[in-house]
Amino acid sequence: MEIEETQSPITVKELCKVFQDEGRGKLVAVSNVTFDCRAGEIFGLLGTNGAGKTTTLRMLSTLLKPTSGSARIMGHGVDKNAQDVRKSIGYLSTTTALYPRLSCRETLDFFARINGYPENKIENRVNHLVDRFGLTEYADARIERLSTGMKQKVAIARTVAHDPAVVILDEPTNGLDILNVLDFHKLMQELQEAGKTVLFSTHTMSEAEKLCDRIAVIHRGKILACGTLDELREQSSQRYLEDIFVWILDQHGEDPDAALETM
Amino acid sequence: MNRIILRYELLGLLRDTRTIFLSVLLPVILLPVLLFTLNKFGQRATGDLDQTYHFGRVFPSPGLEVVTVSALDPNEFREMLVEDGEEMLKEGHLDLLIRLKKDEESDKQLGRDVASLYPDIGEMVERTDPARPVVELLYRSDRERSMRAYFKATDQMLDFREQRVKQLLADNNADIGVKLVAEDISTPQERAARQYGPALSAFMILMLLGGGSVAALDSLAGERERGTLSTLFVSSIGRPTIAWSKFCAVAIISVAVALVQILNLAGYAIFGFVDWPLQSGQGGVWGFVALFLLFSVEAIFTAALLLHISARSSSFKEAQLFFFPTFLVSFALSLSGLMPAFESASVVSLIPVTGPGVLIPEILAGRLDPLILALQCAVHLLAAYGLMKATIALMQREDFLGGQAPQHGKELVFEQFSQRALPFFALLCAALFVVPSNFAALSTLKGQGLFNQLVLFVLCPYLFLKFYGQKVRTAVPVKRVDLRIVLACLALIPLGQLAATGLSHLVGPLLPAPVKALEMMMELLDLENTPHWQLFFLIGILPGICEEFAFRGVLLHSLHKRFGPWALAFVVAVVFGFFHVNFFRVLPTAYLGFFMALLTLATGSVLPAMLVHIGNNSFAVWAMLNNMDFEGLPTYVYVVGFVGQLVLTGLVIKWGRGYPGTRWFKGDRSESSS
Repeated sequence: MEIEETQSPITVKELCKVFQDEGRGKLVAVSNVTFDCRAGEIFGLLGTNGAGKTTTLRMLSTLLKPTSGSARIMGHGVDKNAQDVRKSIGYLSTTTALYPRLSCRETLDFFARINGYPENKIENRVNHLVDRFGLTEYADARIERLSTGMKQKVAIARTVAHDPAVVILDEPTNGLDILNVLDFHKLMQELQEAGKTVLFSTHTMSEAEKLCDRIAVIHRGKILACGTLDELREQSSQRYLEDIFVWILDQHGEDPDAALETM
Repeated sequence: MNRIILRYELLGLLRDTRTIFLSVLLPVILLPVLLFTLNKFGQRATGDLDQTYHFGRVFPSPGLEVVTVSALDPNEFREMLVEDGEEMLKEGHLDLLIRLKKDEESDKQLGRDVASLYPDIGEMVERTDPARPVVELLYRSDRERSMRAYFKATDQMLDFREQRVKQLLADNNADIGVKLVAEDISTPQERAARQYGPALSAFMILMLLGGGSVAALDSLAGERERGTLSTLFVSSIGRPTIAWSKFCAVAIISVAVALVQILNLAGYAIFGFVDWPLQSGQGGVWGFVALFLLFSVEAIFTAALLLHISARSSSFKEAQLFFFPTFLVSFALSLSGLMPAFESASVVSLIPVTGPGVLIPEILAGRLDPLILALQCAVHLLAAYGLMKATIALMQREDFLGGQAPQHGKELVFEQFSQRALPFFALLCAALFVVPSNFAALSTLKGQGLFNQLVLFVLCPYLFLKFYGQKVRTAVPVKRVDLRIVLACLALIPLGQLAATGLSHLVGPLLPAPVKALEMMMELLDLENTPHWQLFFLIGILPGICEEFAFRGVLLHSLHKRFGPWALAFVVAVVFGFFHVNFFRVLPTAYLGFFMALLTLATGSVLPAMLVHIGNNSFAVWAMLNNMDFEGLPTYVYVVGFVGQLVLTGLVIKWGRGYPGTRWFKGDRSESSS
């Protein structure tokens, strides 16, 4: 895989993360992961549960330190320039992670402010997001009173509140109904049109197939394949992403049935 | 501190009904209950004059009637006819049962004398055949009324007896010459301070911990559980700033609790609902100000404490589990005012939560010492700062947000080994104090040599090393050193003795050696009867080897990654000093321990320290046996000792290859990481 380090908003090179568990000993969560995301690209990390997606994203969002290897976001190393990296990203974890006693509007205002969005533009930005995510009716309601789908919408809105150049989303459609999922897909396209770089993890094949410009298949902490859907189709001679995924695992001597059970 | 986080943190906290209830409503409700209860207790102490108690008398008891009618106040005691007195006492119909009993140490002559002196109770004496009669009062300590009746009846009967004795002396024209009168010279304010003070401190701690608990536990542990903390950590605001902002929010809530309580108290005092000692005069105003100041710093300390607990917990529930023992310990410490011997002008003021327990009654009594108040404020603020630094260190850890610790294999085990070393040595120190003093066989010179040196300083540290899979050869490095270092160490022996003696002189006025301790030490050594080889072996050689194994070996190795060389030598020296039981010995031994730790760090071997230790102790034994005294030498001799020690230690640091893993190490770096 060729890396265009100077141009890509996200470049990841031989990234490793090893945990030491008192009971289980040494755990290699991520091993020599290398990929890059280009400007305005939607990049998907596709893998089963426990494949290393979340660990990779947590390293990129500076919550974890890499054991070895390097990763740069907007030119800043995640290890040495963590503060600069944080200014450039919006990160959504697997949970909605919202303050139950704040309202939607307050939540968006809070995250825009602490991430350094220009103060004189915050009000307009919050109003725009409330409008964009269809939150007008609930804008002043406390988060604890919202439904799961609404909370997830607020969480996504909060992630982009400060208009970051890079958006990192960890399984963002978890718990959303089909209408909200479709709305999320629309948002992804809007972000892409706005020139944002989106890196997101999923284990839903159809979502990756529909949204991603490029996909990296990750399994047991290793990237097994990376490319556009057409490139992967060409390599595997398979039509659907599910079949491509099985083929890739098979090529690497992994048991596809066991892997699919965890999806 | 970040203004935005603080603002939104407070917004979230103030919208939490639990915080409002625990911080404001509950204290407002509970304070009058507490004051009312304390007032009632106060009345109980002085007695309730309107109370009437019922007593019964066991029949037939001739003569006893005279005693009860004459002694007991008819306004307070009313006699009831009883059939089964004990049963009635049990069922609560009676408060007191009075009966006559025969004296177990019967003296018939005394009985006859009593009968002749007091003819009106002669029948009673005859009945006891004819020994001195004993009036027995039966009461129930589980019943308030019965207890009060017993105290009152005892007082009145003793008064009655005293009057009889006085009458007898007067009848015989005798005068014992001494008149005893008692007077309580304490002011009402001081009495009220004693009544309210100790409880007020405990009440405040309950309220501060209760009020701040929801806010603090939710602030880190709760947010960690919800995942909101990771979103904050991904913002451009650093973790220390986040920690301080959250601390400020919790501290504001806690100080608000303190303020509400002070206003609440002031309200009750101003409107005269309670017999409050601060309600009048200039002292009252300053008392309130001092109380508010003290409660505020306690509030800041409890905020830091709760936040630290919160940081140590991975969920709100876990934080609640930690909170409970913290709550109990803090409550127990806050009751220090109930300890009769405690004064604020003592070491008590250096302990957070404990100090205010003693100071508050003094403030209420109008004996405010501004210096002690300032000291306690400083102690609380420093402790809060230390706790916050520890909280920030926890928050900086990679595994703070969950997941496994990032260390690998040996590193992880070493970190655990390192973290538990100081508590382990504290345990050893406790064993050193407790065991020999409870087992006579171990309190002798030989017993101490065997137990302290072989068991505490070699076997226990060895097992500690093995438990954490550490190699003895790495922890206690025994490496050859240059001849010039050996020579320097030999010269350090007398120089160290002189310098330590000079230091003892210097601190002598502050920490004088207790004569009794010196006598006990000489008794233990028993220079006349103990063979000299045993003295040299048990005092010189054995401690030189065993203590170096424990302190400059295991302890120093366990901490060598946590401190720089100078700080490490200091910590090891302080721990070493505290093992020398008597307070006056702590400083000189810590001083020598510091130089021995430097030698180990400079050379990467415990051998030089062992050599100096054995030499020092043996030199001291030799000096004792030859009645040589280093006291009273000209000052310049001690100065020469000190300067010589500095110079030679400096040279050893220069010549030595350093301790692997520290910045003094001059060898192959790969060796240091192994």
